[in-house]
Amino acid sequence: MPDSAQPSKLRIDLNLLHPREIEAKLPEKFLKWLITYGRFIVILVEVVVVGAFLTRFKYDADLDNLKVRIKQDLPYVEGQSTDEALINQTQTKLALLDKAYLNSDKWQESIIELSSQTPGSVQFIGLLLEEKDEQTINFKISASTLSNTDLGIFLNSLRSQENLRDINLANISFDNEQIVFTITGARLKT
Amino acid sequence: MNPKASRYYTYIRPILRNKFAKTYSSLIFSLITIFVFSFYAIRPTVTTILSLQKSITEQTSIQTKLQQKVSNLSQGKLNYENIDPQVKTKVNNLIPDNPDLARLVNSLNYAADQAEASVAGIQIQAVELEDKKNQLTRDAPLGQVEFTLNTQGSFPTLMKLLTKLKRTDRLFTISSVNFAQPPDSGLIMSINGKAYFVKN
Repeated sequence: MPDSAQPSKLRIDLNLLHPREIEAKLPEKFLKWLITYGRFIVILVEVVVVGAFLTRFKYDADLDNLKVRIKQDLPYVEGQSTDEALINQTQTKLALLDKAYLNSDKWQESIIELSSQTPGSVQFIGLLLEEKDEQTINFKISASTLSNTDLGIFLNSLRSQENLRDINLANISFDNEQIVFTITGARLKT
Repeated sequence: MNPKASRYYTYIRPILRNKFAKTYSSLIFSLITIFVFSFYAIRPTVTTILSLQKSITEQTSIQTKLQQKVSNLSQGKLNYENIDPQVKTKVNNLIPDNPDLARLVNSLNYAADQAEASVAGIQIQAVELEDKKNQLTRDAPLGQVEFTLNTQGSFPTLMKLLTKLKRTDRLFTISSVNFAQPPDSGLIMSINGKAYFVKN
């Protein structure tokens, strides 16, 4: 067949090889990054910053409101300072009165209790009662007796009382057939 | 000058051709950007927000306490006004705003008279005397006047005196009681006690 009779061949330039990457320059690379990842980072940062600013405005407003409310309450409290002092002092006085009256009976009670335990032959020369603390009274009995037995009974009687503690015969001496002695101890408030 | 001999070709190009640099350059750029933004844009705002939050917490606490105080003051004032005026006067006499030694001595003598005990002596420890101030102090401390009361009488009389001391118009607390029986004499009772006043 003559060449002219043949259909003209369709020529396609097809390069099946992967084109070799044209190496980008640094500014070009940076620009490419800037419009891809960089853009999202900037948007994200802007969102965070705007959010933070909005939060800040809200907190500023809250703080202002609180300050205004405090300023409103403060003059009232300051104006009541005299009444406050009066109320405080009255409370202090009432608390002291309460405490004092609650403890006021312990002296008579102690004296009555000690005397009720004393045998008839024992004569008191002296009796000292001292407050140790709110619950305890220390006592010191100076007395005399003719009977050794009565001294023993007196001591045992004091020791048998539940609210009497640390009963001790601190001193004993003899004077003209009389036994002179000193007993110390503590009485707990019942 | 041969461009191939420039610094770019000598120092930077080898780095850019480095496979590691090619792969991670985007990540590194991103990290640097995030760090820069975090440090210069977000951090100051976050610091301010945290500072504001702290201030708000403090101010809220102050405001709550203030509200509580306002409420307590109103209630306290109401309670105080509800106290019988006679009771107020009695309380103020029991614990006055100054040592008021004259009334203290009178009260002790009156109690002894009521109990029919004779007063042998009254000793009062040194106490600072001040003029009465018109201004009340909020946290005024309590002052004490220490005294010793020496009395003489029978045992029932002295016991009665101990009871009467609880009912005087001045508050006394007793620190110690000492009974002594000297020969050829009546029973002597020595009381160490304290009277109170408010130091304004």
